Amino acid sequence: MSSPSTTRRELLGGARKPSRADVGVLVNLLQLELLMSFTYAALASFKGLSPGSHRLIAELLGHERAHARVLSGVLAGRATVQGPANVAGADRQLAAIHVSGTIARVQSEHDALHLLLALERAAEGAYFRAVGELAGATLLRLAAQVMGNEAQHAALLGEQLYPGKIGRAVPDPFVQGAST
Amino acid sequence: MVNAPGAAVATSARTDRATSRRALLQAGGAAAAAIALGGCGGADSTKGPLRRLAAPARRADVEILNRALDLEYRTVAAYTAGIPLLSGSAAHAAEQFLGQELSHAGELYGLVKEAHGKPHDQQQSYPIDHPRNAGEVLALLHELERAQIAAYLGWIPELTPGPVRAAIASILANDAQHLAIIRGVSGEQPLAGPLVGGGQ
Repeated sequence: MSSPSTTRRELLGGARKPSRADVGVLVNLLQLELLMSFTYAALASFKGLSPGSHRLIAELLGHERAHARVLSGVLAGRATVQGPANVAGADRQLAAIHVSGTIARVQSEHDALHLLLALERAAEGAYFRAVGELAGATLLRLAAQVMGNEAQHAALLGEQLYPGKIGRAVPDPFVQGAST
Repeated sequence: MVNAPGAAVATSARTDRATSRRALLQAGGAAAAAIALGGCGGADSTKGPLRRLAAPARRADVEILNRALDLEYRTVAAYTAGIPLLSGSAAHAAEQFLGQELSHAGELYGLVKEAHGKPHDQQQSYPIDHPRNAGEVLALLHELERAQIAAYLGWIPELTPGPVRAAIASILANDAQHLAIIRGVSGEQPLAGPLVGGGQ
């Protein structure tokens, strides 16, 4: 397993100049990763979480931030992307990508996990489409690596939501996520 | 050595598990027959682009897809052999994952056929150490899922049509989920890091 910094170094060596089309795809992915980081951070401080859910959300937050760092590194100098400034802005972005639920309306651990699961499904879909669209070999590999990780997040959130129901946690043999 | 599902005989000294093993092999054989009928079908959007490829690119893609199919067959054989040695949540997960691996094999089989290639057949057996207990089964499944993910990561950039790359990524992502759950039931941290592949 490469550390995020190693991966960024490798990427910058192999994909110094993503094509204009690839930059467009990467900007969308970075925007999504920043939204995910914001949402995970907001929900990590929600008081109604069990210790297990809190640990999981904190770990996944670290991953989303790592994804955002890697993508920012690849895009360095090519595009500037800002994350949501506040909860209202994040909720607007969640609605724009058809994620059901809002940060502002989370009232229980179930709500929090459900919102994050919906967001992970949106991320799976975004990376699924990106793998079909990107041209750069290194970027394709990176997108597939992140997609696999987002799918793992969805599985673990599903396990947390539906303990003992593996069919709910890993329901589909083909991970294609949700349309955004 | 692990027998492939559908192989005539599964040799097991554990008579108490013989019935469940036989049932599983029969189920695996039936599913393998379904694969041979043309695949379980994941994403229909992959079919047209493969047919339209120029012959050299199509041949290269078929070779990759057949190598992926070989890996899936091997993993199916390992799940089939290992499930009778598992219990509880590990067994439930492995049964779910076996079905999904069979779907992957079906999809790959179908893609090869759509590209006018000849899908590889299952071998009678695979050169995998026969696991003797639950811990060895989980270690074997972990290794095979990890190997599949590593191979797919190498192949995705080499595949020509975008929809086919995406189809393979959708299989990889499901294998990554398997890996996380297997790690969890093995008592390890489910996630090894923010990017799947390599050392996970």
